[in-house]
Amino acid sequence: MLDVKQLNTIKATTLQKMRVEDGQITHRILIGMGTCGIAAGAQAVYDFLIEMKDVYQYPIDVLPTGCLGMCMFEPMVEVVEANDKHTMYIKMDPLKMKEILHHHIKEGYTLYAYTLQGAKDNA
Amino acid sequence: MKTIKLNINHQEVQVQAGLTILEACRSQGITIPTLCHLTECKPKGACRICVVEEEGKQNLVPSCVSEVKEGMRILTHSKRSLASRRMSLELILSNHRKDCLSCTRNLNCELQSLAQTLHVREDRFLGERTEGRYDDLSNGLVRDTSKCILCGRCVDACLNIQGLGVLTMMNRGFETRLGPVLDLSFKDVNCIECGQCVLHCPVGALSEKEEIHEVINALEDPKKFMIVQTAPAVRASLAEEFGAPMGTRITGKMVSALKQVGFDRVYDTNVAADLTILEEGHELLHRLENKGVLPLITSCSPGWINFLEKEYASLIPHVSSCKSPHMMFGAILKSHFAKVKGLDPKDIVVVSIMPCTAKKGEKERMTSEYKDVDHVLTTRECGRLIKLYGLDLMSMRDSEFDQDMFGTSSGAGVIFGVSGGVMEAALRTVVEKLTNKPLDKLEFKELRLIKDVKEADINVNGTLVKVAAVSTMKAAQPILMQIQEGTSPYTFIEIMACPGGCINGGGQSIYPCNHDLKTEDVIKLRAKALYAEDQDNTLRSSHLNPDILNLYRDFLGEPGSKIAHHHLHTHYSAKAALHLEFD
Amino acid sequence: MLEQRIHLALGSSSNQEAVLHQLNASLKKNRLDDRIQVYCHTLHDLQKPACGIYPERIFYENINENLMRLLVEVQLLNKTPLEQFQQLKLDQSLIERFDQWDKDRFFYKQTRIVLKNAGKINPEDIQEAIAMDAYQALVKALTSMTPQDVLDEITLSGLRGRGGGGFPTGRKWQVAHDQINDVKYVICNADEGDPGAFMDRSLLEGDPHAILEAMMIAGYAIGSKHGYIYVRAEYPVAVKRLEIAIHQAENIGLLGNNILNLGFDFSIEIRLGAGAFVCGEETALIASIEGQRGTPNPKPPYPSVQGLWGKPTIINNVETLANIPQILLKGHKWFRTMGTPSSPGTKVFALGGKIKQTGLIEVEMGLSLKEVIYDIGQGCEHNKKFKAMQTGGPSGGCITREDLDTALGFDELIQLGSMMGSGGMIVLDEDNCMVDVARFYLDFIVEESCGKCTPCRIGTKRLLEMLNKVTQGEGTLELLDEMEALAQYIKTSSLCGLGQTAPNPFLSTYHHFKDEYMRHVVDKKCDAKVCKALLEYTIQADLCKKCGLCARACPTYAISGTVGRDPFTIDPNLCIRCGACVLTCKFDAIKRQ
Repeated sequence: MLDVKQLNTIKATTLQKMRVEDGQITHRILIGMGTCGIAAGAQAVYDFLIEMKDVYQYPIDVLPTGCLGMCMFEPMVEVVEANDKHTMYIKMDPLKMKEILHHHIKEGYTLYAYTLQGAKDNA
Repeated sequence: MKTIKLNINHQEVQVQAGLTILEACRSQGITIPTLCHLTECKPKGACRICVVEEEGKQNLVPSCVSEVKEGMRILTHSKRSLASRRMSLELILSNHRKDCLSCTRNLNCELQSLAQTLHVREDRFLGERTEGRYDDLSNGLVRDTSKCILCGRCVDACLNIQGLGVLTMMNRGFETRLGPVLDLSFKDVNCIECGQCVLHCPVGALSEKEEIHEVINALEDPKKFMIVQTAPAVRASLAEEFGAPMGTRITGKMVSALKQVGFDRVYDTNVAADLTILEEGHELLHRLENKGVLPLITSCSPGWINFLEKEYASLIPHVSSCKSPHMMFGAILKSHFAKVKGLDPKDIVVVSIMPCTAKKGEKERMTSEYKDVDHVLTTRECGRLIKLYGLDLMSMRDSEFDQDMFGTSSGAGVIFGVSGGVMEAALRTVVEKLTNKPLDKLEFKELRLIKDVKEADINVNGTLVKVAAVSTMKAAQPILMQIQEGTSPYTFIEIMACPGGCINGGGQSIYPCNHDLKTEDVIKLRAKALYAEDQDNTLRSSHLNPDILNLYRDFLGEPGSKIAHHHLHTHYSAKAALHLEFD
Repeated sequence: MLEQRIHLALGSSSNQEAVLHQLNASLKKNRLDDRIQVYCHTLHDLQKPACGIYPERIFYENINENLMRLLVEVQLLNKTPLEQFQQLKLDQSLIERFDQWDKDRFFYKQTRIVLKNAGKINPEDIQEAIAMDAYQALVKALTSMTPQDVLDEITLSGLRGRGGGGFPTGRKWQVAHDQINDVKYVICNADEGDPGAFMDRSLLEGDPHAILEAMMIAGYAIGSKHGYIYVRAEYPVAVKRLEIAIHQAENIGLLGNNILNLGFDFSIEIRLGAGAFVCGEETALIASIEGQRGTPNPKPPYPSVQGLWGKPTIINNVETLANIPQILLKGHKWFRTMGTPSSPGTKVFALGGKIKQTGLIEVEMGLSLKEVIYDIGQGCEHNKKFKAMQTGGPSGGCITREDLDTALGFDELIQLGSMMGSGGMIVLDEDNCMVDVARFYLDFIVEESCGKCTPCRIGTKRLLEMLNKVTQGEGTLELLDEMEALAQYIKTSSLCGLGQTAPNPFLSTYHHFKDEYMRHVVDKKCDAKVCKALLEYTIQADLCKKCGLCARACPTYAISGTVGRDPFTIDPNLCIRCGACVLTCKFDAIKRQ
């Protein structure tokens, strides 16, 4: 069973993975899957991403996460990349997700209009 | 004993530490009214009638659950406490069907007394009422939830005293209702109709099924020959219906009153108790000699028999096939007595005054074409009957029971009404028969203790025979399980449904059970009357009763004979503990 | 709480990001990174980066890396404006942008202590929780602290129960610790029942390991080896995530026997609620776990002395527990830097109602209600007038415009006749009828009352019946007096907190909005046009085009008139106020008042 040293090892390696620094993946994608997110349709987004990941073999992590408290923007998807780059996409559905996969994940362009910032700045 | 000082109603007092505010006030002579409180069970703090004001606390404090503390300052009857108390009662009344005038508890209802004490003068808070349920399908009990105040005392009685837990609360909030599982009738669940719930109900939500009108109708019928018999326990409680202190013995007055009511014969069930001893004694001796099924268990408590049939049917072979005394009496009256007197049995009406609600169901067991007993009235119903005929029991002269054929009874018969009494009565006969010499002491002190389970070791010709007297199903279950496992150390067991025996039966006079009286006090006071009657009797043992001996000589032959078996014995069968009907 | 902050606006063309990197690097170099809050925004048509320094409101534009470095060292460190670069003639619309971002800053960056991991980690992977320091506090407690040390730390932090009671957590734990008993229990109360509250749900769904760790620390502190989490069954996702978390913790050796080889045993079981709000009350919760009817019992004895199965038990709310690991790791002094002296730390609130930005917010105690409503919530929707804020759910009361400057804190809210409760905040505007609001909460209470004690079982029912009379136009002044007396009685005589706080919504609205009650009772009018029975629908004769459409729509034939000739009228005795006529009239001729 686990001892303190092993606990700290897990901490260090997992942190690297979460910061997209361990070289295994290029993007870490978190989908808001609290009850509010699921109620807004996050399950479809999650399922879509999982399918795309499998089919196209993207080197990405697709993970559920909890609620950020901004319920009216759900379903929310956060894309985390190396060097502390975070992009928060809001009001997602599989169609928009497809675009993001193509533009952001594959090509590296943030789809500004779909982001939280974008919505607020252009409100 | 540690004492602490506190201030009650501006008076400095010293009370025992560890008491609740309620108990402390009572020790000082201050009565705080209560409703949901039962002296013997854990206080709930639910009704809020007992709230008092404690200095330093913003909210009112329930005195039944709060322990006294050094330096506490309490006001028990301040304006705030009284206002709150009254409001709680008014709210309870607003959800209570107030048909006091036609209720069985009219003049003996805790809600009525409380309304008077708290000076309720208007009917405020008129509004919706919780939907009520009326169940009178069982033989002995009636449940009317439109009068229920949800004090939960019956739940406590059935669960913690009887050990059955038949009654429970359903739904929640304003819709809460009290009753057996799924709101079924008592007759469809594991209820044994012992009536302990009725004794603990402060209002008329639970009561016995009355048969007074049927009895009056029969009394008015000139064709009917009316015979009434009174159980031993009744004489220790009937006086309470007329305001006398608990345990006042009024055997003679009871007989006079019943004679005045118009019964053709007033007999004592004790006579039949002696008969039961002879039959059951014979049964025990027979089993002892022939390696029959042991231990033998008594069968005179119909509450216990209901429990046997519903939950321990596998133990039926252990139970005596003897009917209970009043049923035996009825059987003899409708056969031998009828023949001797030249009466048609269908014109004889046998009424039993019993301390029991389960006996109302017992009388429905028939072993011949005639019911052994036609009507069973509880002690309370007897009191009402006597009052209906304008008689004041306490001022009547003493009379003797009718001496015609069945006038003599022994002291052994009268102690049937106490837990341990049947055992004692049986031992007086059986031990003498087994040892062939009279007993030097007729009282068995171990069987007179106030306990759920009493044991005695009897020396019979050098062998130690273990006997036990048990009351309540709660105490009986471990004993029964022992028998099932084959590890029972007893030879003969007496089982009674009600705690302490019939003197505390479901049909006895209702006493306010939320005040100082504990069950053991009740048992002690009422048992005293019966033990005294035993002491005063010149005849102490059943087998020496000349009337019974005559009965055998003239009719039954000998104990255990075919005729005896036909009239005086019955059989039992497994019954469903839960009966669900889906339509 | 006034912090220095810099808002950096970047365009989307290349190399602008380098400025941000420079900012971060310089801040770190000058050890300002934990004193200056950085907010980064993108304005894609911006040519060159610009920034605004707050609260001073000093703006710079055309920033490159060098200027950024200078800005940090001179402006931020020495508080001296770089006058030659300062832009006083910054484009007005850009300044407005900066102001808006600064106002919004609370929204983007709340003080997320308890919710720090929610939305950042995968709650179904214990390793990610560990990466974010989960179980480090447990290690610290087990290796370098005695149980009393842990208790002292919690007590000194001043943490108060976040479930509604506000009772000092350290004191509760100390009492349980001081009981001499081999068996003790730790219970997490996750039976969040207040309508509109979902703070605990988000915590359990987002970061379940924080709760598990906190329970273990509690177990160590008081001497318990068993924990129960009582979750309401209406939270299936939370239940699933908790089950996964417990399972993973057990598999890895973080629950069970000899945890982390440090000789500490602890196990956790989940128990589900069954739809009873009252089971959020600690003694009712305990009864429910014991398999009995979920009704409260009188206190004393308190659960810390005699709780589950008669053993010393501590019961804490989910949010209270979520604070524990960080208090142990960062120390009580850190915790005290947030909030107020009597209410230290943060609180998660569920902001809802007639407000623009709804959602969960975690803010330091001491923030004013005005800031919550206007800065974070962005004010009322559709520019309606703010009327009141209801806090504390069915146990709380209303806070009106006059008291909006009050700081958020346990005692402060109680002073106002309300309470913090579990953190629900419902904003009400001019279209809400306060009498109806009181009726709504009382209806909830009547539904959820356990029925054990007289004041709550029958008293609240009667109070609701009276309140219904008021909303239906049958109220009288005597009735209002009776209601107040009944409400006071329920408050002072009920057995448990549910009953004792049940009259609060009524008493609070009655106290603050007596005029509305009077209008309902004396004039039989509801100005907010909510209480249907008090509404009057009239057809304005001058606007009526006599088309007769409304009469045909009316389900009770209450409208009469002649098509083309006489204007139509509504018979108020037949009108059931359904509003069908209003919907049908194309000429807006029907008035509702």
